[in-house]
Amino acid sequence: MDLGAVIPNYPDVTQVAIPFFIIAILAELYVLKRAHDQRKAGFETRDTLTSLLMGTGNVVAGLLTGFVAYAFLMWVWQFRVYDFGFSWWAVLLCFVLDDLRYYWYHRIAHRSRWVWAEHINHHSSQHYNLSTALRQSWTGTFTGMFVLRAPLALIGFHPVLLAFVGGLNLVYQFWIHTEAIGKMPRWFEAVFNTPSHHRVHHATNARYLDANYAGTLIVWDRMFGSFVEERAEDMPRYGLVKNIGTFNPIKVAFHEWWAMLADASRPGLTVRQRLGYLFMPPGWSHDGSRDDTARIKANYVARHPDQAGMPGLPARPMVEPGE
Amino acid sequence: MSLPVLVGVVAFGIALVVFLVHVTGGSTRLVMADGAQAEALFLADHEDAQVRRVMLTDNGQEAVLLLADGGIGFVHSMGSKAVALRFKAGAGPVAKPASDGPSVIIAFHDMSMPDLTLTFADARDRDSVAAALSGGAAPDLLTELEAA
Repeated sequence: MDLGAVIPNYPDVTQVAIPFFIIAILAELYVLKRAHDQRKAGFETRDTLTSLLMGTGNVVAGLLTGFVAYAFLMWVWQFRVYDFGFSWWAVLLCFVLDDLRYYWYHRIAHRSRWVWAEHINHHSSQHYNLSTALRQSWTGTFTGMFVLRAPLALIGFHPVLLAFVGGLNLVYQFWIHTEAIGKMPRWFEAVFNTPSHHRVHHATNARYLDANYAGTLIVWDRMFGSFVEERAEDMPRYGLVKNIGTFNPIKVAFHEWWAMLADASRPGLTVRQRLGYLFMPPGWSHDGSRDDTARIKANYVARHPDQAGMPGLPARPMVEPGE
Repeated sequence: MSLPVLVGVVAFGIALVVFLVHVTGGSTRLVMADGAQAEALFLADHEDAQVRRVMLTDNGQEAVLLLADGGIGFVHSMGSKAVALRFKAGAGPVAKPASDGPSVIIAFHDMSMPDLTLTFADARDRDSVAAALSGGAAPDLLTELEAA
């Protein structure tokens, strides 16, 4: 059987989109400069260069390590229970289910330090513009999260199709990394991920932490209770809870891996504590000396009791053990 | 797209975008005008902190803050933004006097933070920073606390 006649020759959509990315970034720069809005984070030269180099490194890393995930999924594919083929409806169904897979990947990436170590670089800019969208990981394959695609291969979506719809999803997410667009029409905001929803995701304001994990469809956040609406009175502040002081792409790519391994290899810890530093949420510490997002939110509510129970915030301040 | 074309498009695109960001004012670095601005930048990230004293460097690109709980704060100019770090008492970075001038070199031992050389116009500020980061409280802060 000639597989080439069956499997479509899908383009690498992220590579095809590169000229569009460049034109769109230039257009956004023009719009923001014309607007003269000091409240917006805008562009910064070295930050932009770092983001673009991170994006380039991501493509190179994909070329060097992408075969690992592909080989794994081809191995899984032989055990498929069905074959959806490559019809238009199979592509659409695959896109929607893969978007659900992306939601859970993304949620895990924020809730387990092992995956956060590769995802943190995407959040490391204090600016929020289209170049930030390209600030992508170099170490994604290393976390092993490609296994989340295995169920899709098992139920009958070919790995080539999975790679294609995954690329489409990333291209969709490009345009939502902007402050140049306020709100989209209500019906669109209800169904799709938008610049407003994703600004929340990139913000470090207490109410916005660990919210809006969606790739394309925001309905997953609404379904699984992680949706938080952007509020005009609490403008997003972008970056990390503990921001980084470097534009060096190598350090941006690897600093959290280094910090995590340093924590896990400290002398005097139990095995359980070492595993905690690897897999518990960012901010976890064996002695409770650091703040994770739950404590940051609780502390915020303690300082602002009128905000208790608002979307993204707990109903009451955290009660520490022993109190 | 062939590899040589892809490389060419990426290189040209990066160069064009970065050049245009630069010529439209994107390389302006944050310089803090005074201690009040440094304190405001710090409190934006650490709302619950109580700042006792702010020591701004000569060039306005760094500030060290002594906190009421004995902790130390740093504000570091990072392009047009600032990085605000907070350390609990006794858990801060290491400082040593520079060998060739009235400065303090601070090593964070953190891959995401460069070592900083802070130069203060006021020698008391330099001494206070060095004392605070070597485990002791700044001499004049102690006096202030005792008076309070």
